[in-house]
Amino acid sequence: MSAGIELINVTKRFGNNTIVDGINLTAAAGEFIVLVGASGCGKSTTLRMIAGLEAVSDGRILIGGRDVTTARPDQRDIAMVFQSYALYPHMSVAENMSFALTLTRAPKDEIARRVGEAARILGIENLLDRKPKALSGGQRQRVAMGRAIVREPSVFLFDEPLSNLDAKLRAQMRVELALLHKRLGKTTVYVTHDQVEAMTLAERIVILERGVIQQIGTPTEVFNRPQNLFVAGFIGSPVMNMFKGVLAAPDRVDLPDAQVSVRLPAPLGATVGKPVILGIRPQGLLLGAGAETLRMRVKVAEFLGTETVLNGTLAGSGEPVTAAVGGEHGQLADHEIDLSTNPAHVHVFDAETGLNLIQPAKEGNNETT
Amino acid sequence: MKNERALLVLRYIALTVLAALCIGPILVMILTSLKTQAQTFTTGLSFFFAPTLENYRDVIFDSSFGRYLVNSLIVGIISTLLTLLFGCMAAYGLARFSFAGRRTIAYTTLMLRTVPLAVIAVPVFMIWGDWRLTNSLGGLILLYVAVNLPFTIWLLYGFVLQVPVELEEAASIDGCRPWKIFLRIVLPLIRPGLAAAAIFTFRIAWNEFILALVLTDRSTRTLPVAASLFVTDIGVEWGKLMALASLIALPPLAFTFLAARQVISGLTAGAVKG
Repeated sequence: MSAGIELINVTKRFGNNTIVDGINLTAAAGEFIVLVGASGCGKSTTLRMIAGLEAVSDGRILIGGRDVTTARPDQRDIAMVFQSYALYPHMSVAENMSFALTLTRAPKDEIARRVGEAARILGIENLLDRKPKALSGGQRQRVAMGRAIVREPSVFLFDEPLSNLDAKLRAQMRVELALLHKRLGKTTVYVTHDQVEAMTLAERIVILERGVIQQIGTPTEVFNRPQNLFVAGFIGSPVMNMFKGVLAAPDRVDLPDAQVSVRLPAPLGATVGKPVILGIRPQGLLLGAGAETLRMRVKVAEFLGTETVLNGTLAGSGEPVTAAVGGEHGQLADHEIDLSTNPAHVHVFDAETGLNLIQPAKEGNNETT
Repeated sequence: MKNERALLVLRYIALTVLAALCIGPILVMILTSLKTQAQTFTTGLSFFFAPTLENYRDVIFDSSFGRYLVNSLIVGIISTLLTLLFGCMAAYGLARFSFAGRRTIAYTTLMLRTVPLAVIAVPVFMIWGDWRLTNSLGGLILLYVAVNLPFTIWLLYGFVLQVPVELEEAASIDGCRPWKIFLRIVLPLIRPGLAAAAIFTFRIAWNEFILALVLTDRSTRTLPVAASLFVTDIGVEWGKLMALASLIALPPLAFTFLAARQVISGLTAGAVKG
């Protein structure tokens, strides 16, 4: 059975340092939630508090409606896959997977059945007698997942489980994880700093910064409607372009240094004359002049197969610009080009608060801010 | 090329000399144990003599040998087991629990071991006398545990630190309480350290002479003290002394070979990514 998770004002302090600051988060039963953020943002600490490996300084944690704030890890009906796999090196794969069940004195045939079933799901039936040191990174990762599956917990916790794998294996395991979640349907909290993992696996993404939730939303929401500058800069690759500007009219932002005026998709309610940051996704910059044209000096052109990423500076202001344009355009390096904007990819942020003025906060931080 | 060869020759000569220095005394001990008292003085270090097992027969069939052997075994085995028991728990506590002075304790423990045993002989004799621990195997065991604990703790502390904390966390999620984590996860992984500590501890408890001489009597005497009885007022019974010395050397040798098989590196390989 799957169980929902509820974090109520959860705070973690180490001495005077607040690592996690009053987080409120609800994961529905069976939901796949990804906590994402830069190193030190508190995502792993949050996961460890859910697991019971870290004591909560303030607030409450509920799993399946039961308050587990002070419960031992084994009393929470969870299973965790560690970044470092954490396989018991002195035990075989089968012993690793069955360890938790042997501690509960489960019948031997039941243990064998569950280990066999998990091994079959993960394709590691031929590895059951091996010791962890005789396994490759990908195989160890599968065993770590197998150890979690065998316990048939209500909640799965993953702490950057793919970060030690090479790019190819990571992509493969990502797909397998998605399939596994579809198959088991268990509530999953997954921590990563890799936004590709977050975007591809999550039903909802939670973006953390300095222990505070910046936004919670579906991958589409956080990409298309970032609530603030941090989310806008964190989600999306290449990173969103940010230009200093002024709101010249309700539907127009001037970039004084670049001597360009950019039309907005809709008029804003903010005061005209307000200093703003204009954010444009690299995919929102199109080759060729348009209604408003940005002039770019291309320094490097990176051809990625289906698109070319142009890196350079904005003529006039010298601010860095990145444009992702379809097709091969390697010849544009060291040239000055014209770019037009796609209003759908344009965002305006308050220069003081960093909030998105086009999509003002609806749900807010900690699901309320 | 020539220089390299000369260097190689020099290296082999140096190694041969070192090996001879190590093996020489053992060889002399064994040769002497196979000679009669007369041969000891007439043949010198010569290999050419008619060997005899007379010394071994005299030593083994001496009425007290069995008692001394049992005393040595009791002292050696029990003090080793107790040292390992307390040592691994202390090392785990130092490595895993945070408390005031933890690091200071962890790094100064070994300093206690730098004190020569002869220095503590007199105070120990007085204190053990007050506590009525002299002339008892228990007193000797207690002393050897105290003497060997610092090194054992220091050695095992390093081994415990090498066990990834994630393994203990995984075990706690799997349902282990702290004691079970220690017994099922940590202890099997520090086995090489336990074996090394056991070799060290047993060797000291088995061979130690000065403190054993001070703290034992006729009934609690250990084998090294018994060996000293062959040094008499009228001379040294070299043959018997060397025969007993050869016999004394056998158990630690066998124990070391057995325990050394556990001293293998890489027990934690594959636990976490390297």
